[in-house]
Amino acid sequence: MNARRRSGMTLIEVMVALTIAGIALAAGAAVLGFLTDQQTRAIGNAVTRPASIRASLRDWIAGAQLTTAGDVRFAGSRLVDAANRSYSSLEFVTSAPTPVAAGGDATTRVKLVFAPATGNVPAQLVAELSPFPAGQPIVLPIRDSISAFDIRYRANVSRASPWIDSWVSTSVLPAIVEIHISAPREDLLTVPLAVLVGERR
Amino acid sequence: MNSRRRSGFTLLEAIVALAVVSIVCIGVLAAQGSALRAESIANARLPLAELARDRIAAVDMFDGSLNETPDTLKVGTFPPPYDMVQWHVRVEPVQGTTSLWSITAVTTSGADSVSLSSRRYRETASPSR
Repeated sequence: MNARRRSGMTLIEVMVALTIAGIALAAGAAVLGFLTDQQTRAIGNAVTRPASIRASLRDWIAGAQLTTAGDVRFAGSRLVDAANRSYSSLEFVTSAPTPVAAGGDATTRVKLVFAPATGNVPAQLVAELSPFPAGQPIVLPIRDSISAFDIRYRANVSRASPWIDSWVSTSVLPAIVEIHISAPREDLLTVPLAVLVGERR
Repeated sequence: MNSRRRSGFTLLEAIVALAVVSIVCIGVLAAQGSALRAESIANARLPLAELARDRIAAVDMFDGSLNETPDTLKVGTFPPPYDMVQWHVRVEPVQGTTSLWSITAVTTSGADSVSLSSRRYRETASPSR
């Protein structure tokens, strides 16, 4: 800064200093980005997965249908596990889009299977999806470590209509299906889900 | 670069150059920060949207006249773990019609809020389907 003797730094010196500083900054930003990425991915999964699964369950059940072809039936029953606790199972054909069929005429057989706890393996709920009438099935985990899975049905929307524990029919669909998933750790899936079967416009 | 005459940069010039570089860096970091915030807001609203859908479904399942929906369908909170989420539902006829209804469900959790609207055709004479 002395006007009489402007020695200062050379361009090379400044460039070297800037490069070092730049590399350090880039490395820092990369590490920060990686860490926040990991964190948001974990949070994002914990939030988006239950929300999207819940939305899928709602759409699949709302799109449940009965046709005259094959062995189409809406089968929701009560089973009993080894410890004598009852749990639900549900099988139906839906015209809603699923990972295995586009929806509409391309229908899917949906099977909600609750595997009761055995030994150290906690109970879990999976969805078996197979293109209907034929095709390769896939198994979609819905929720692990759950304590109970209960479904109940109503024949029509009238408040006078009682809740029924099981619904097996090849000719009549229930009007309302209500799913209760209980789990030690609560999330969006443990909030009771009531679905109106079929479209009401 | 001439070795005979090492004039170089002054400290002032270097400071100015660094200031320019750091302003660019701050801009990049600020953009990244706001992207992260946007993501966390989106994550917070996703369950709110699904819960709002739930409330519209509850109105769909109501078998009475939409003219007089009970209070239990108008306002409330959700069961745990979403007991901090308040909801309220507005059901009103679409102006100029008698059987077309507008259903708006709003779910609120702290500063986050989601509003979901839907329209339903329901004949006033025979409310159940």
